[in-house]
Amino acid sequence: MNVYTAKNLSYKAGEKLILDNLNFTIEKGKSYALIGCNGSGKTTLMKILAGVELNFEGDLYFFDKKFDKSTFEKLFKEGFYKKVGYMFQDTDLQLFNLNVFDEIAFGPRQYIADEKEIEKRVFEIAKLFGIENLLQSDILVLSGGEKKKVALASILVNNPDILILDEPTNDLDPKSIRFIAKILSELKNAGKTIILSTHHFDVLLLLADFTIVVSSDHKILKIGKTEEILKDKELLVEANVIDSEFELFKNLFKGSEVSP
Amino acid sequence: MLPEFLKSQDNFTIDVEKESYVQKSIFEYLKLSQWFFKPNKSAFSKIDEWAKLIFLIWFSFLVATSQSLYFMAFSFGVIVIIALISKADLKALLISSWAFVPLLTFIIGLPYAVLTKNLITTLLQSLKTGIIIMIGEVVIYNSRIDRLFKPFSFLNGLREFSWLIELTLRNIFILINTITQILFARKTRTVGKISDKMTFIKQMVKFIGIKSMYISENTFVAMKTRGYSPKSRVCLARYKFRIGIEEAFTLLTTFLITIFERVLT
Repeated sequence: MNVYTAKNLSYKAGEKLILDNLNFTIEKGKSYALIGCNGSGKTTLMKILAGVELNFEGDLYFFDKKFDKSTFEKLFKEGFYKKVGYMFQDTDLQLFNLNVFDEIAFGPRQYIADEKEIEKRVFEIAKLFGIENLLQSDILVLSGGEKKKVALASILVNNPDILILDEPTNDLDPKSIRFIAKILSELKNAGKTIILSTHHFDVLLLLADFTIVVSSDHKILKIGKTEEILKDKELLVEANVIDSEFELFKNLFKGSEVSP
Repeated sequence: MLPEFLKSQDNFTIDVEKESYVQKSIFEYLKLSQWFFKPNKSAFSKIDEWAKLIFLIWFSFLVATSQSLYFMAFSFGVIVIIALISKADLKALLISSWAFVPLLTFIIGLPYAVLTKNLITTLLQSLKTGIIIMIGEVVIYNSRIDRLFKPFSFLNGLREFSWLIELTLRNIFILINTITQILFARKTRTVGKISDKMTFIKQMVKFIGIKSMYISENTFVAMKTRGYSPKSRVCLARYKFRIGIEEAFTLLTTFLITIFERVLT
């Protein structure tokens, strides 16, 4: 079953073309990674899928239902954001409560009446992210990594089936990246559909069943299994997600079939 | 290890209510309010900012002091023509300048109009407010914000004021963006219904207050660490009054509008 189906999806910001004629499907229970250089349109695509940006051209379907400006209000009333969780790229803009507990509890408070049940959920999710000691802390004093964890926790606490995560691991240290990737991997195994954008190949390998490569001219270069995409050096260089001049890159590919 | 609730689907009943008019309007208004910060390369953007500032101040003064409905109609027409020539989003301009403050001014003035049986005064008040907001938005749209208040810095006593204005203008844009994002963030984590609206609004106001202070501090540091100072002589030396055909035309237009104000009274 397809969660999203896009046919000739394009988006313009004023005169500037941001997405150019995209065609893809997102299958239920699978995980997808969007990769591409800065400014390729990944965030815009995620905003469209999350219903935040609806001024696009072309056709988009959400579980075979038309998904556009005219139909979104109906989907919203049917509980779209109970099914879909969206994490902003800039967590500073996403967090709007004064302390961590209120931030995480905000979602469940909208549909769970029992405050004890809410507290239980908040505590369980905070424990999962190892931030239970921060529950009474002010949001503004948190570190970048802690803010990421709070942002992700505040999305997951709603238990959405589909997770749209805009660079959930950027600005994190390697340990935290692995920690977040591990949680997301468990969620994938629990049957959640995950769509994320990332610049981290480790996250790709660990998480993504499929990878969508977006080019700098805002088109989809290729959609394929992650292992296959990662072996295609020319594709990755063309998409500007790796630079063949970097020594580390050369070493990474040493001995492999695609050795430069 | 995932908590149990994440491994299964929730079966809570989703109770959705229609988004209230005020909520929807504020959201739309904030989105619309951003149009005038978009980059623009119209003919008006070439006019030096000092001329535009004089035009803005004098035009606003004329509108504020005039008691003529004809002059209001004339002023409205002038702004619409400027907006059309500069290819501004006319719909966004009209909604963002008329949907809130002038409308509220009119509603607040209605009891006075009923008591004194004088609708014209109330109407004039709201028209004046709307036209001044409109011209302000059009001038900002056609200007480089960082240069708009530079002419003030030539008057020694107003240097701090010009810095404050610059800081405020930058923060307004960041804050509008922040509020819009907060409303998006809220929407993406609810199912349409806010369980406790008053608490949400109180928290949001408090959060925006704290966040605006935080943003102000950071903007201040960002500006200062890049060498910005209102007292910088280099900064002042770089700003030169340009007097050309465009500026002369702006002053002439200002003069003609003044004559029209006298004629249409």
